[in-house]
Amino acid sequence: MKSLWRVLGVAGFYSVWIRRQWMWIIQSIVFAFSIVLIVYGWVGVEGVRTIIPIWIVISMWGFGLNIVGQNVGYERISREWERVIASQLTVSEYFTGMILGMLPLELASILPLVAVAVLWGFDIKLILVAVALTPLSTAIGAFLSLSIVLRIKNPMNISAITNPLYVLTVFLPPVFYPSTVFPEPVRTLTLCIPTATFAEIIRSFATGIYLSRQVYLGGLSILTWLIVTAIATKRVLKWGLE
Amino acid sequence: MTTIAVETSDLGKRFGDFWAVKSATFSIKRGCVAVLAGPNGAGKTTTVRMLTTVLKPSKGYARIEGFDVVKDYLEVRKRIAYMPQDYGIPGDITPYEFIKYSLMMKGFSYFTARREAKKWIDLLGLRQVANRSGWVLSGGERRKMIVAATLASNADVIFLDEPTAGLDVESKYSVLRAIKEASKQTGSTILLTTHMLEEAQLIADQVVFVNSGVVVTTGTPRELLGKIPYKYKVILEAVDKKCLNGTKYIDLGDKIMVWTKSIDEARQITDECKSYNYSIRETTLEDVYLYIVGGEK
Repeated sequence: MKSLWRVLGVAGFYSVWIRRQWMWIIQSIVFAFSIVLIVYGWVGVEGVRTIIPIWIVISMWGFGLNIVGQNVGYERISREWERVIASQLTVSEYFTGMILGMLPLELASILPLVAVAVLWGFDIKLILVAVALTPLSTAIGAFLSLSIVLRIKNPMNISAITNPLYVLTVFLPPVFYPSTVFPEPVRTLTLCIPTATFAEIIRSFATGIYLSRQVYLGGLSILTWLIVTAIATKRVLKWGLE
Repeated sequence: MTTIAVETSDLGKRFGDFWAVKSATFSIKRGCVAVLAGPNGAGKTTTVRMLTTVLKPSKGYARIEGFDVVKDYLEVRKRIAYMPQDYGIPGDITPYEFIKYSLMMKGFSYFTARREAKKWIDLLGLRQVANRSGWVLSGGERRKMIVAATLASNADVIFLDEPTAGLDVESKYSVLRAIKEASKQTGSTILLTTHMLEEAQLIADQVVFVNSGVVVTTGTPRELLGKIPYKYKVILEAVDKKCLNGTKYIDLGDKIMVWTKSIDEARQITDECKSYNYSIRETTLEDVYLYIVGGEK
């Protein structure tokens, strides 16, 4: 029971800034709807059908990469990091609480889009596939960010690292556009980028067209990223006794 | 059951080639307010960070309530609360929320945390600003907020790193009063660091003097005051030092300070130096520190 209160305490602590700075939530909603409108304008309904589940997976990637990574960086500067280390909080309690506390920021954009998908009569299976992928995208995003942020001795401007990393992994690779714009072997190589792989999985489910080679490569890419970033994070994530 | 709350022996911490703490040996009795005192860079914060399991000692050992800070760090963490130096409180949070969530992070239920938060807000005089966000609070109010959250934890051993740094006089005494009150009410052992020795003299049951990474002496304020052979100090302004006739003094620029063993000796100096601007005061922990660390000049 004490563990639950500890997690809820961390969640409450991290939910405060979202409750006070509610314009971030508005931004999150507007951003998501804008992406949908852009895709609708250029591609039509078929594009929206795919972009909503892709958005769900990618927004959680951004949550792990940007929000979790940035928070840990800032907490090291503010010394909150030391305060929580010198307590009964375990690493898992701390991160669970942090994610729970800040999740409303992402849910604010995801839930309205799910409603849009349902009202438009899109196949709910795609949404479920996307939701099933979110723990993976959050975890890899967070691990990637933490493995970099925790290596920085003087983490004065974490967002200067996590924001470019977000743009680099979300807007440059074929996430919001199809990988078919690239010729082979570049197209296959894009599967080395986890965000592109997540998007490709969604697109494969949406169209029902996929190559077994892509499935294996995509699966291998996600698994490799998960293992490598988890190990890299474990090496630098020291919960005290440094 | 041990009566010692904090015990260290030859504790040291090295960063590369630099020893931030060279050798710290001291013990603190359970239930007392102890002060780790020394100048900036003396190794106070590093010592506290080792005691709170944030840093791993490079040598020696430390025990909190009988538990080793390395081998039994999980047991230690159950028994401590820590306010780091220069703690940056998030701007959006209110004192009430901060204390409440900090207590829940310690395992308090929501209801107990809420009740305790209200109690400590009153005790630290934060009622007027309890529901204002951190952005509009003064530096003193923010400091009180984190001190309140740490003291309210009811931990066996509470560490406060420079809890009064940067506070105005009123806020400083309010924080010191709360620390003393917390010690009385909860029976917690409180170890705080400061470079302000007058604070140590005011609230400490025990003082540990640190200098250049070494614990130089420890004892109650009374015991420490007994460690120098002088009872008074004379501060003279605009005098010719020759009038001191070889008596040892501390040069303070336009003033000089002379330690004396008796009030008569002090008066004799002021008479002989024909100083119109002088003051005679009892020696304090500052004098003890100067005497032990700096030696007589």
